[in-house]
Amino acid sequence: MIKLENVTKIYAAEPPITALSGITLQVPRSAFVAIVGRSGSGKSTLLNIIGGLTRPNSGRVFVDGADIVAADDRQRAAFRNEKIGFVFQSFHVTGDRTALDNVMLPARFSRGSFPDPRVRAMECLNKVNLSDRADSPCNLLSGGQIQRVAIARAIFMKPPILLADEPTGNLDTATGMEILDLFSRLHRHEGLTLVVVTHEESVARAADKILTLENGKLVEGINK
Amino acid sequence: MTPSAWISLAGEELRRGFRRALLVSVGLVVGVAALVYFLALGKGIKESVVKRLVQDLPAEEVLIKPPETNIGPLRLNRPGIFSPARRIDDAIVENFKNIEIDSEGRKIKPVKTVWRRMDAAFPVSITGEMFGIAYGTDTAVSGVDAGLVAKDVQDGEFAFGTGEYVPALIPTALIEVYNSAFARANNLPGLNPSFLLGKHFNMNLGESSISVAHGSVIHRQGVIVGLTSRGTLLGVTVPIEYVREWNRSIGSEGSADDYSSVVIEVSDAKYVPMVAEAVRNMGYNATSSTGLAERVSGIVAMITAGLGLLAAVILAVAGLNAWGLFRLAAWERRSVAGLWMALGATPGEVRSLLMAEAVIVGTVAGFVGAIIAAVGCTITNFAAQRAADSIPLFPSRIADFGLEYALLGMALAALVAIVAAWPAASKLAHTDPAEILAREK
Repeated sequence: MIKLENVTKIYAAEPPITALSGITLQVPRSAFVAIVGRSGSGKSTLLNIIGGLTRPNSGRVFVDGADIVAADDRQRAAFRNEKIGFVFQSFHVTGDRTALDNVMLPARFSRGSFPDPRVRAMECLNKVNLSDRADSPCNLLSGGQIQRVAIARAIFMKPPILLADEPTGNLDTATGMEILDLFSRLHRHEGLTLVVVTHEESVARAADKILTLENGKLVEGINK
Repeated sequence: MTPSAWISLAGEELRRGFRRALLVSVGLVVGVAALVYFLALGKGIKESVVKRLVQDLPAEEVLIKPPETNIGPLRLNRPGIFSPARRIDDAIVENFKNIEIDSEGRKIKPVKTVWRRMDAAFPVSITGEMFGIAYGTDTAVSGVDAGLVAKDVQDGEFAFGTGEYVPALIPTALIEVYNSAFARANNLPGLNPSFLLGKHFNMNLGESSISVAHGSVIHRQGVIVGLTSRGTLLGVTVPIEYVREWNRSIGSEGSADDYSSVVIEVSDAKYVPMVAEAVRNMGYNATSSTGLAERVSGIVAMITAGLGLLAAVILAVAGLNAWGLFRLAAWERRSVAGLWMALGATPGEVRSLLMAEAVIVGTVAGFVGAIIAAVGCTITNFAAQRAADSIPLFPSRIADFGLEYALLGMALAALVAIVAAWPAASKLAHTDPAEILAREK
């Protein structure tokens, strides 16, 4: 379960930018939550705070009971490696490496030795229907295929939570739907908790719950 | 992150940034090669010069001469003009024998032996025949105590009045000059020192090509009994009693009583500086191989330091270049670093990956630089060996490459690379992954 208590994030600038203000929310295990809102409303900041990439200025964040704000750098890094899978709008895969190499990358940052990462990577590529392109360099793949490589990488360490920031933002509508379909399947079959930041109505519609942010504040939560 | 994963990722990143690594390396290679080469050259030159000094004047000995005033090429040792009159006669030699110094709180007399040298105070020429060719030349003649050159006598005796011929030693340097310059220029065969032993020559004492002594000319025959570097540099060295006798007969007034120099042997090399000081206090010039070696070492160290500074400047410029390139590397990798952190890397691991690249690039560049320096030293020594064959007294080895210099070069290059990379690596480690990953949407 993800639990945020009165989380505030202010970016140092002149004048200071309040990205999030007093956010309190809970996301139950295996939920599919969409976070919507206008640009600059604080959606990505919220996602990054949940994922342990950004520290809030105040408030507390618990994931499966662990306080990730109080954790040190090493604990937060381990948390990101083991508990969180990230999917980004611009994919962030290494173009000159193969799909397989990109998927295996999280194993490099594992605190213990990872038994047979190639087998696990092939398993993940199979789940995103890309096992036949395992040895292709990513710069030879289409946008949709690259995003599927990124999703395979996100689920490689078997994290309980998948955080996606505009995962269909750089894809055409048809490919975006394929990715959305893939997310839904992973959510259903793997029991993943899915938090997706999106502008797109179709994505939001697929979620169990939609949270709307406005000027850093949670203004609406719709349970479906 | 496990050590094996870290090594594997560092290796991959190094391969991906190979061109940049090469650019970083170039300056470091040049700087280290220059530094190691200059250090090896300084050490080699110092050692070859000191070796020759000690060969001519062992560490336990002090060479004493009357004080001289040098005005450019003019050497003056005349009483009352530029310096006080200082002679070395038998009374002074006795004083040298009885020099007392303080050692560990007690007075000791460290002088074991005093060897005298007396130069001929009249013109001399020699004539003879070698390889069937008649030769004749003006020369210098010097007389020394037999003990000074005892080790150099190889054939016969070096003593006064023991035979028909005057036993003579010729300078080692003269053979070098002859073999490396004269023989080559005149297409003559080289001389093996042993070939000269037992050869006779005529000595015309009191007569040279430019002057004649006041007294009558004495004709004697000499025989070569060995080679020495401890007598006169460009002439014939004979037992001192001969020169005393000849000076008395045909030399200037008082020349049979005055010594041109003496060599003191002390019981332990550690007393040499104190004895030299005592001699100077008596108003004489004192030279020791230790003192000379110190002066030579000082001069060589200054030159080496100057060249080392040049190499340090090259390394500093290489460091600046590396600093710029590592900054660029960090800038290019910020999104990769952001991704690594999102996937579980700590800031320290991100920093260490760039630092690993710096250490590897620096160490490899240092190693290559040291290899280049070693090759440079080998080529230099090869050239020196060839030069020594044709240039008299030129050392045959002037670069002394040592493993310690190679290790120093590698360590220094690695250090420069580390210092150059540290700011960029730290900045990369402090990258806000969320900001970077969001910026690249």
